[in-house]
Amino acid sequence: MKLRTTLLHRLPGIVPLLFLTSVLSFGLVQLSPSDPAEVALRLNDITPTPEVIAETRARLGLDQPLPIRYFRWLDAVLHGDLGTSYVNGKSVAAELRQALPPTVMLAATATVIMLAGGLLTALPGVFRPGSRTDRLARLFLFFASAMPSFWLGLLLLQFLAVTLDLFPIGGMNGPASLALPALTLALPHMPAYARLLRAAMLRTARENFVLHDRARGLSPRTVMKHIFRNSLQSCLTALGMSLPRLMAGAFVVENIFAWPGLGRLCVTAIFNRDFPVIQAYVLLMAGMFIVCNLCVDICAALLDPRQREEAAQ
Amino acid sequence: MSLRQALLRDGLAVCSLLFLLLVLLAALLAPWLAPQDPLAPDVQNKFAVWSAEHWLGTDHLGRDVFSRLLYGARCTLGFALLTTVFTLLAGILPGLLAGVLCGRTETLLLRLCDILLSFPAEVLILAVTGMLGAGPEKAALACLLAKWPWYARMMCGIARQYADTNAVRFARVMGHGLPHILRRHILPRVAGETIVLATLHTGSFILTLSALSFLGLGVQPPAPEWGAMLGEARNALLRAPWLMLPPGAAILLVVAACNYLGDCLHDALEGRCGDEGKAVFS
Repeated sequence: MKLRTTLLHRLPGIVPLLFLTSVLSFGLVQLSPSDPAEVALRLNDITPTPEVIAETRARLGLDQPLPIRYFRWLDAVLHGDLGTSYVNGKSVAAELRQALPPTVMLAATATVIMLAGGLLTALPGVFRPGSRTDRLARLFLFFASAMPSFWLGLLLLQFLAVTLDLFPIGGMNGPASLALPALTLALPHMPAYARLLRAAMLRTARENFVLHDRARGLSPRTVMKHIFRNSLQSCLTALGMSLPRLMAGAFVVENIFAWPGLGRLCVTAIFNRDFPVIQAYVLLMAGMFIVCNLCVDICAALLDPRQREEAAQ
Repeated sequence: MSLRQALLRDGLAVCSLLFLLLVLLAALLAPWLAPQDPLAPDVQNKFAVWSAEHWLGTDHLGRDVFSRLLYGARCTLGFALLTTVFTLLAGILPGLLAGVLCGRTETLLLRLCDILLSFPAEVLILAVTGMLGAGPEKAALACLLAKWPWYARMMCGIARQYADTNAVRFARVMGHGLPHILRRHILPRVAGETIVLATLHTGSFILTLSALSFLGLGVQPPAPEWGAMLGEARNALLRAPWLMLPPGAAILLVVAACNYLGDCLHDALEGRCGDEGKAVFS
């Protein structure tokens, strides 16, 4: 019942959002000050004379009016065709498909590191506020939030990969090569989550059921467990969105560690002015965000016992 | 308790403030303080370690790193501050208007901001730089477009709070127009605090903009921007790994000082003068 109302409530909402996203990522290229046809020609070392430009415009379908081009593009996108790259003539969809798994892998590992680290650093603030561990954790979080990720990446690269030779320098081969990029990606995001978790746990600790637990004489350990479980639910949304967030934020890290992911693909495309790739990246990321948001909302509705009980009554 | 008192009570906040002022002063006085020309190459003397002549050594073209760091403060801070100011301006007007007008305008703006903020800033920034190409002003524009909704929403909330005061109601009854109300009743109340707070958000702008410069999408070499300097140091990583230390540490310290001061001020403004950030060191 509840699930259905949530779905009915949220599903119609995402259609205009997806439409807006498609207009936005299509419009980006149209707003660009340089002519895509000319860019495409220059990339292939062809001198752009007016005739050749006109011919390329016709070949790329750029001579049509804007709405027609938009619907053609949308039709192609809905059929899974994201166009071809100006640089190497390969299908953009194939390139994205190749670059997606490494980024997902990197972001997933980083999420795990971030959650574990965030939890570890948040716990002392809840159960032993003001202790030395708590102060140490806060100090760590404070500097982690000001750390430029690209410097952190270079430092880790230098000390752990070059000097100590513990990890491979870059590229993607084996689980060991995943460690440094994931750590670099996770660390700057950790403080926000630690703060969120701490605030949620402190809020839960003041609730009546905790008082009831204590009054019943439950062991501090069990009380802690109850507080922990109930606080996780309240920050589920933020936790669920961390994967796409980290995927979007991975472009710097992917560049430092030569990780063959989406972010690096997009940054390379920006340098080459390879518009179809940029367009597809924006569309994919934005679409993923919308869908993830929906999934998280549905999960929250499913997991919350209060909502389940409401449905049962 | 006034803001100044709240700040002065906290030793570390004073230190952060002094440090930031020192960096700003160094940035302003860079031409007089810098021992060498930051752009003059000296290939004979490249990758030199620190010495009396080159305090922090020289980079891959033999340029003096210390001088570049000083000029870099100018470049990095100036760039980030300008971007912050323009982003703030872009957010203030719609935010204040929506907050004062309430009703449908407010709902519309807040909905738009929610949509824009639901995408991560990184995607928007990459999208805009992708569209416009690499360059400092384009990176700044990308940052502005990605972050203005945040300020608009904040200003909307603040204006909303003041739109309900008797002074504003009275001004309305007196038949004063919207510009008058904004100028005389709303702006003076919010301006000081918000501008101070926003200045301290410069820290996050420094991080974003120098990351773009590091990748080569923002400030272009040979300009001595700290992120771009790190980008150059990265290419010389195997030859001279120490080159990445000065610009990275500079970014870290400035951003940390900005963040600490910002948190402190935020807490003071909220009225619960922060045990949050302060307990770190007390």
